[in-house]
Amino acid sequence: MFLLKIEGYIAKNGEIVVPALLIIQEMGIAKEMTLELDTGAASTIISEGDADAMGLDYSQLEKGTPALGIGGVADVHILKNARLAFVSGEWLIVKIMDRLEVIKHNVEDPIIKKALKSLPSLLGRDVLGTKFTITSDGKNVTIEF
Amino acid sequence: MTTRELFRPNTVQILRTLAKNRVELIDSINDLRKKYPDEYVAFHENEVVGHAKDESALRSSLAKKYGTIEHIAIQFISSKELQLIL
Repeated sequence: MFLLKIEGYIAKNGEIVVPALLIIQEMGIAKEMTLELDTGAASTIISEGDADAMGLDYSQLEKGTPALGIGGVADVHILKNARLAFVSGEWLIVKIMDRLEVIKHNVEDPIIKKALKSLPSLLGRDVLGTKFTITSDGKNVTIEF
Repeated sequence: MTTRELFRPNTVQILRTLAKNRVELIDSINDLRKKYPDEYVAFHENEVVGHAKDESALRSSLAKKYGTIEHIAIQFISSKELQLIL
């Protein structure tokens, strides 16, 4: 039996977009955003673009272990005691995130830097756990976990 | 400030609209790349509602036009096709 049911939408290329409200109470931040569902990601990751859009101050965050992926290495900052609220019908389901990773790329090329900032934030397995179902009708997506 | 105080009354609707705009932007990315290479594009209800080389300038102009812009999908459109490998 699954405990939570949240909604998302699927693009024609198969990308699954999940709407969420990121709440950082200590900083007075509540930012509407979208996360891309990534069952291959161990952690939920806030992209540099989303972090910039919400005015996140990296200097207030703990520095984590650099992230290594196919795209190279990026700095990781740790956001503690944040909340992610997901849409479930007419309700918001709030998930307390003890730890959220915020990515910051070190790239000189201004165009590549902008492109990297446009990468989506990722919804990973730390939210989904190991038991989940994803159902899509080709437009709307339901994720139960 | 409590968590409840940080919520807008219409948060669910804003989130749904934002996600739908994001999906429609993804679906239109090839056309957008031809029309607005290396620009920030604002997308709402399957239409480009703004574009600029500078993100802050785009957000400011959208805010003047629409007031709140949380429901509008904004993305940098790279002239080069970048593959997202997850």
